[in-house]
Amino acid sequence: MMVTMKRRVLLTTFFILPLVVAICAIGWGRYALSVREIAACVFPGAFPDVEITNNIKNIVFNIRVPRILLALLAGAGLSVSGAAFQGLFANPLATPDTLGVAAGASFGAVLGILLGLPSVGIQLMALAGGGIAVVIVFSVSRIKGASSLIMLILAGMVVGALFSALVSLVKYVADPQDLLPSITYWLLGTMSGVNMARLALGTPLMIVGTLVIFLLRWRLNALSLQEDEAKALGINVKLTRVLVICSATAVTAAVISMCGLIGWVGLLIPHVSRMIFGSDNKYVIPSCIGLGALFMLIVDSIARTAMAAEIPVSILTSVIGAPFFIILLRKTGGVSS
Amino acid sequence: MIFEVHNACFRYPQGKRVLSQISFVAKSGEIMSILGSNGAGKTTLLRCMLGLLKWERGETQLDGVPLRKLKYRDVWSKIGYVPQARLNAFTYTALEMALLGRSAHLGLFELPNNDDRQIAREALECVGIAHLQDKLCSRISGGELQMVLIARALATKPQMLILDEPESNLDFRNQATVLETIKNLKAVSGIGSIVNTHYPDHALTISDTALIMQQDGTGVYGAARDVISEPNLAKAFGIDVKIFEYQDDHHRHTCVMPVY
Repeated sequence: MMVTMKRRVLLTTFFILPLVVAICAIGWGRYALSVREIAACVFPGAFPDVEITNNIKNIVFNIRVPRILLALLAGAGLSVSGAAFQGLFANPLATPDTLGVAAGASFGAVLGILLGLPSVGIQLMALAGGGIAVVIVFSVSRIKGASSLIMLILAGMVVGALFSALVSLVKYVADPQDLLPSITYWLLGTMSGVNMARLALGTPLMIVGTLVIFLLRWRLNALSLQEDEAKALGINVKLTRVLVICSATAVTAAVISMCGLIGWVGLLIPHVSRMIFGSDNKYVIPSCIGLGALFMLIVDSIARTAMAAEIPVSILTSVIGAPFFIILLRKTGGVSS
Repeated sequence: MIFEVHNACFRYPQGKRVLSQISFVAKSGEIMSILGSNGAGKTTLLRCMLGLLKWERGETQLDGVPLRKLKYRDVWSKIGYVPQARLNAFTYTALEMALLGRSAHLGLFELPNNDDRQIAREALECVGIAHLQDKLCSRISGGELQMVLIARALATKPQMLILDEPESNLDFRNQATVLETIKNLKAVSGIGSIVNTHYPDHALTISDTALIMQQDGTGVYGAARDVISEPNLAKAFGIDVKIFEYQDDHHRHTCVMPVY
């Protein structure tokens, strides 16, 4: 009972912390804003003594709020889909990219950049690319109407390699003067320049996918057992697997379509969550949502404020994530197997 | 509950027939053993009769109804399956593991509630490992892990257990614990068992009926005392077998020994 209480308190903290940091983060940046100014922006008229210029409004609503929302969504989404794939494949090394979603989405996006599409078009291409990659993976892995997990993983690797090669091809033929830099920049993953329109396109998909995984979180425990064992527990393994794969794919593709490739979060946060809560996905999944959002927000805040020029966020996730993970491994005595 | 298999056959795609003309009847309140050499198709039989593999011919019936006509969750809330103990990639605590036994009673998006947790705890208590409930499955002994898996099957509240070599890889003491548990479940709760085993003496100790798998894929089925005989075992295992009896103050013990 004590344990349950402690877990609930921790989880609640993990949900409140990102929100608190998010409000503070509105004030961080080249143009620093005070808490009163932020409050006056969010609740117009509540602080008549604070003067809010259009410039401040513009910074808050068109630049910082969308970016902060994106960081929260991306962190939560990638962590949840990482944890879902790890449970599904009974493999702690699985990532959101295990089925080639990220490679497919990247190819879609860079092809969109090459064709000179507007940003909405690039985003739609990324979503389509991710979806197509997983459809190919599904059909390749099906042998006599059934697909085993190992076949899925192998097909995912093959399709991932294929799309990575296609991404390289696009980079090779792209004009090195202006197209190649923007392709490279996109592939590094960035949250800058995000607007509400881009958020509106990716967020619903990301939220629905996350919600389905959240609802299925206890079932993930049974899915990570041997297939016969899971079936004998009375679980519709096929349906549950398809639901988890589709949701995790939707989440990953949606996040990538909004901010490009961001690695490592999908591996780091689920492991950190397991070190705190054990393997029970009933706690691991909500923990991933909260901690993932928090981690990404902190990393992105550093990315945009630490130096005069923006640091690509995927570089920072590794630079900050790796040592953090090593310290955790040392402190908790490693991952028990 | 009556668990029946009728004239069932199975072959792997493009392979020779592994199981042929298998028939037996197992009732809740009875223990049935399945004996046979390695490769005789014991595990295949288990998977087929539970619907995890499809029979080529014949069928499994639950209380007279063909298994394939029953809903997944209805079947698995009556039958508890105990696989061979092995560790998974993610290690759950004994209680988390036992709780998974409630799966068949919960909807796709449902979470186990306090009643379910209570049932899982009682299941652990029933097999005598309530004190291990917060231990990780990787930090307990093989015998204890096997008991956790039995508890998980019991949390389903089944009328029958199906156990795949539950006492293999265990020492004498733990073997006895597992066999005692299976016997007690029958005596106290009327839960029947179908047990795959490598040990004819265990089969003789606990079971009412037995099915001995032959090399050609057929089975010899009957009362355990009748079919577990020297000639039947010799034929099934391809080695001469002697059966001895030994009487102590309380019980009659049977020892089955291969002779070579």
